[in-house]
Amino acid sequence: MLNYTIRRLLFAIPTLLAISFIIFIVLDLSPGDPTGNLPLTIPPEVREQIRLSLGLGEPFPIRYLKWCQQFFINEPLNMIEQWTGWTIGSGERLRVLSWSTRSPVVDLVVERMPQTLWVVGMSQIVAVIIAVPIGVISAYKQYSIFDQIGTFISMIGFSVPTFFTGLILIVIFSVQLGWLPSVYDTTHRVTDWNSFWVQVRQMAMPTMVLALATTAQISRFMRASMLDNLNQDYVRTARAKGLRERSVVMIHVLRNSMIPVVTVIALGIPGVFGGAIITEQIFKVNGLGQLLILGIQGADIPLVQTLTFIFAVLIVMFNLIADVLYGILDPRIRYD
Amino acid sequence: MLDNPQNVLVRVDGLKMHFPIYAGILRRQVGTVKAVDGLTFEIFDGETLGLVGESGCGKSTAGRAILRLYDPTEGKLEIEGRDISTIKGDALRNLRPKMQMIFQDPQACLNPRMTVGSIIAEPLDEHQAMSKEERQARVLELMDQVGLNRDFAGRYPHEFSGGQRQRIGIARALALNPKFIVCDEPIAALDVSIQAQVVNLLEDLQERLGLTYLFISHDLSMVRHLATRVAVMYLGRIVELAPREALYDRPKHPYTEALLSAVPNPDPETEADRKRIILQGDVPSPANPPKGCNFCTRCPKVMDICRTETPAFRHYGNGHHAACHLLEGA
Amino acid sequence: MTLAKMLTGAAVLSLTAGAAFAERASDGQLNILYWQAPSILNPYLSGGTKELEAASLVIEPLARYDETGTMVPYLVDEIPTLENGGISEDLTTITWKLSDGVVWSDGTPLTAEDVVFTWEYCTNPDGGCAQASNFTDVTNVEAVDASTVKITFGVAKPFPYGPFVGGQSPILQKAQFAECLGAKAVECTEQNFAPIGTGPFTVTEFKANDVALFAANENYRDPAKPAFATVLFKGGGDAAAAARSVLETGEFDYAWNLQVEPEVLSQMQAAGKGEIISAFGTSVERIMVNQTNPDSALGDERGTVKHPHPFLTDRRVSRALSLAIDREILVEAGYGAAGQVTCNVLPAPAVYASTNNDWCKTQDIAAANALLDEAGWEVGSDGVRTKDGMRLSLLYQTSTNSVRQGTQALIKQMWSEIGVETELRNIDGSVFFGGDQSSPDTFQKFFADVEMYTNNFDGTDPETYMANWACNEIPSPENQWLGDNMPRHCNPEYDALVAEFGKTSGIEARAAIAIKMNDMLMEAGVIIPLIHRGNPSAKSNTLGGVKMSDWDSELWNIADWYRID
Ligand SMILES: Nc1ncnc2c1ncn2[C@@H]1O[C@H](COP(=O)(O)OP(=O)(O)O)[C@@H](O)[C@H]1O
Ligand SMILES: [Mg+2]
Repeated sequence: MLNYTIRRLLFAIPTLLAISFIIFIVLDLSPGDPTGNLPLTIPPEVREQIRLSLGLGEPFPIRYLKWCQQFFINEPLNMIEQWTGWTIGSGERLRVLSWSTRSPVVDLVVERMPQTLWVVGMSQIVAVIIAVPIGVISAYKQYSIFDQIGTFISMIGFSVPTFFTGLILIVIFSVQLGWLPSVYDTTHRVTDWNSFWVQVRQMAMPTMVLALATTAQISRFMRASMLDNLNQDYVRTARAKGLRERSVVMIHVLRNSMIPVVTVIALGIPGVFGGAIITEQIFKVNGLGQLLILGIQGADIPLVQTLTFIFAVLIVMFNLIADVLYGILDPRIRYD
Repeated sequence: MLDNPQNVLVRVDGLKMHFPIYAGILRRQVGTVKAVDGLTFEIFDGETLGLVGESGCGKSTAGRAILRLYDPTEGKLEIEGRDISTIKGDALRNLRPKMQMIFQDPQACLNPRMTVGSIIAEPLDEHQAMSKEERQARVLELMDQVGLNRDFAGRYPHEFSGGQRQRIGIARALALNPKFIVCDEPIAALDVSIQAQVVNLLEDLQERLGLTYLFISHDLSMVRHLATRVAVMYLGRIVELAPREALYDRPKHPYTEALLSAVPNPDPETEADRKRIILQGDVPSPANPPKGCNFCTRCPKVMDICRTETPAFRHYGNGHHAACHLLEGA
Repeated sequence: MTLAKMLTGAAVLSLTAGAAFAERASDGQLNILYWQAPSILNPYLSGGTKELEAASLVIEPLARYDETGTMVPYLVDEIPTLENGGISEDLTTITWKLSDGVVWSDGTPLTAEDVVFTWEYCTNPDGGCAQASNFTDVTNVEAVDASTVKITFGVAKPFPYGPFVGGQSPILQKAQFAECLGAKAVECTEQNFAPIGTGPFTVTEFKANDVALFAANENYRDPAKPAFATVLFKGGGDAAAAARSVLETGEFDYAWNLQVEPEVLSQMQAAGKGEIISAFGTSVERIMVNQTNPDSALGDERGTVKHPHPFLTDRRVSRALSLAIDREILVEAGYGAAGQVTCNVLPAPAVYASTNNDWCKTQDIAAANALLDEAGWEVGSDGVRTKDGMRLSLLYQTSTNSVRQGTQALIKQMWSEIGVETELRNIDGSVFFGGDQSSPDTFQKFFADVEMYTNNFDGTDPETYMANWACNEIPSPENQWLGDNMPRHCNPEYDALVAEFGKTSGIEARAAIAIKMNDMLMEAGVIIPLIHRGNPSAKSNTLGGVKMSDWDSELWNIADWYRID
């Protein structure tokens, strides 16, 4: 397994380099002018100056190599310096700078990571916590009322877009009832029980909106997987052993059913980092998704390039993790 | 054997197992599959009752229903004189150690995510208060008993061959010292070379542990080798039940005759005049069995009465039972 | 208690309410929502409105424009003029004198060197300064002494208030930005995210594209201000959600740029938590009246001055068209709080606004009919007027946009009441405003009788804007249809005024000329102004002191804002 992992990691390097190059080409070819969003009153000469100051005057390969150097060498060195406090070389390195904020992209990402993980990550956790029991019960009592209701709710979760559920929740809980805030306060800090409660309240709506969609997906998956396993012979064996029904379902069926579900969840994690663009926008959570969309709107190429590439890395990594997890969870699978 | 009165271990009386068929958007019940449709027989303590029949005739369903892995639709089940046809929950679970099952597909019936050791140990956890060491010792003892290398306790089922897996299944079934074991085609999925080993193991264990088997098989020659008595099933019903010799030498039911005619005879002389009776047509669906005798659609000696009346399952002496209108007159 | 005492008591009360409680940082937190969040707090590196306005809490120019477009001294005691000697006779220099005792939020004094540095910062060729156009024609900025700055222009500048006036060119602190000149500008993240300023607030936290936190500046020059201790400046979402958070949920005190349908806003306003306010700049939705003949039979010469329009050159006709329009209805239907009736193409700043054309404010069908009768147009059997066999029929074009099509339909209806037949046409905005030489549908070619769109000018000085209607600005095949004089108005008298404008200094004198020019256009009937368009924002009922200005940052007077309990 270790060999396998190392081999996969080594293969990932050229793959990712190729991806980074393709992203760069696509972004370079796509229309979009970093000065396009500026007020019309700014004259063309000034715009040209701005473009030159952003480095757009240089030829494509130079820009790509510069980005590579900044991202693969300067940023990691910088990170090491920050963690260890050492100074490597002169310490004067050009980092990947966003065009719209003129600040290092990596800092922006680091700044937004906590919100993304809190809200989107929590929604995944909530979704799993809700979805697994629903899936289990739906499968165990297939075609029961519970199963039908579960199916109906999943349908809603699948088909109703988050901007709609988000709006409905805001109208109900913020406008009508006034219980929950409609705007996420990103400067809020949890220091005690009170502020923790505030945090819970402001996370409630975005988390639930996202969780609904994910719950629908995972619970369906869980149900299908459970149904698959419930009819397996080993389940009959377990019953023949005289195990309690609980143990039969929870130990034998559930654990086997979790294998594919766990990998699906693992594969969904890069999506968590990608954030939930629409939900973040509605509740004004400053997550990574929002950062990406702003970058795209503002033709902020270094930002979009770096973010997309980070997502690519995460996707490649979590694919590997999912494979390895599968191997760990399912003894029948061996990699070598 | 026949002269000393035998103890009945399992009594089956009018056992029926029907599965509902659902269809349509609202999933309404539109019919039933009559997988087992009225079985009556007894299994004596220490014997091996062979249950033979074509695939799909309801043998597995019968075996599972007898072990109460299903809730029977109708009929009475007794083990050691205790009625178990309707017991549920803990009462049923507490009976499990007495009766066990060995399944057809040794791969599918073992949880792929559990090691062999834990598969065997699990029923011990559930039913017997044992210390960890005792349990470990028992697991290894069982592995020895079925001829598995002790060192493999930590391995997963997929790391074993088919024969070894069936041994695991047997060890697992033996863990709680059962009296009665339903062997549901335990060798059907195995290579011929390994079949004999497993059968020998089963015989061996029976001798040592005094087990009673219901041995389900579609292989008549294997049953002849193992069973003391044999029951022949056709479409959810037993058509003939007799001591081994009687059944193989003097079959009473046309279906049994047809089945036996397909079996090669070890004796070259008789083998020479063996005439195969080829049955016409397909087995009807258990969801829609024919009226009268179930076999009437294919019986070479079919009579008018067969198509209207169900023949009764009667005793014709010397433990020979059959259900056929041909025999009624005689 | 005597009546006099009671009266003084009331006076004091209203004073305190009006001028905030005379104590700094006593009103807690102010929550502002900009649905497009600022990405940086240095307006020189962004040019976007949101960055500029967020930065206006911290850094200040020498003078700002109030809600009427009048200059208000901020870091100086008076505005330099020709009269007070601040502007040289030849109009090439302007000298600003900084107020005494102004300090940066870090306690160090503001000096002329900071002003000079700001100019150097923005004009450095490698810096990519987005506000460089504010320094057009500036040849030198020098510190005469520690508190005197002299700006020299390469040409005579009758309106020399480009540099360092208004939110677009605030003063940066030299000590902070000294290392950030030229190409280094982008690397100064710390400075760009938290500039040190002289304004009422200082930056305590800034998350790009998300949120900024400000705290009252302890060294602010007015010891009683600002009333708010902190400001939360949040971004994200969309305009409707921003409006909701002020008007319905009350989570925020102020939200900006609410381009939302008027009925949605008025519905939200009904919740009673806040109100919509608008700042009116110079945007005017207007109908241009073609003075040339757009008839396609004329081939290459269509729409050129060689062929005057058959009837729209008659002032009586276009005046009748204008009188027939009920502008109130147009505002109500399409603009709500974001529009008001106007009769001028130059409606603001206040000093430049004419009052001589107010006859158009109320619809007068009778007068309009009388004018057309007088001009010889007789109502035919189908209700459409004719004259010499010519029907009074107009082709009316505009860009595709639901509000504009609504307006078109209303005006068509109003014009039918005076016997004018109207054919409506709408063209996709990217074509209409696109300037494609090969397309016949651009607003410059104007192959229609009347066309409708909005235009405005940047800043407060209308000189360039008013020059749009000079003869040499007429679009024609000779100048590739480039030119801003869409109605093809040409009047030597008007051109003379354009020339005079370029030489006249002093706001009043300039205003007199601008008004004259505006009135000339109105009299000639080449432009029918409809709606003065504003930028709507929402403000909570508990927020006082807001005076929205379109000429500067909307938040220009945030130091005066306070909480109404
Ligand atoms: N759970 C079930 N639901 C519906 N039909 C079943 C079920 N189990 C078995 N059957 C049907 O019952 C019949 C007998 O099956 P089975 O007992 O497995 O036969 P055998 O073991 O003799 O091959 C078959 O037609 C099968 O399709
Ligand atoms: Mg079977």
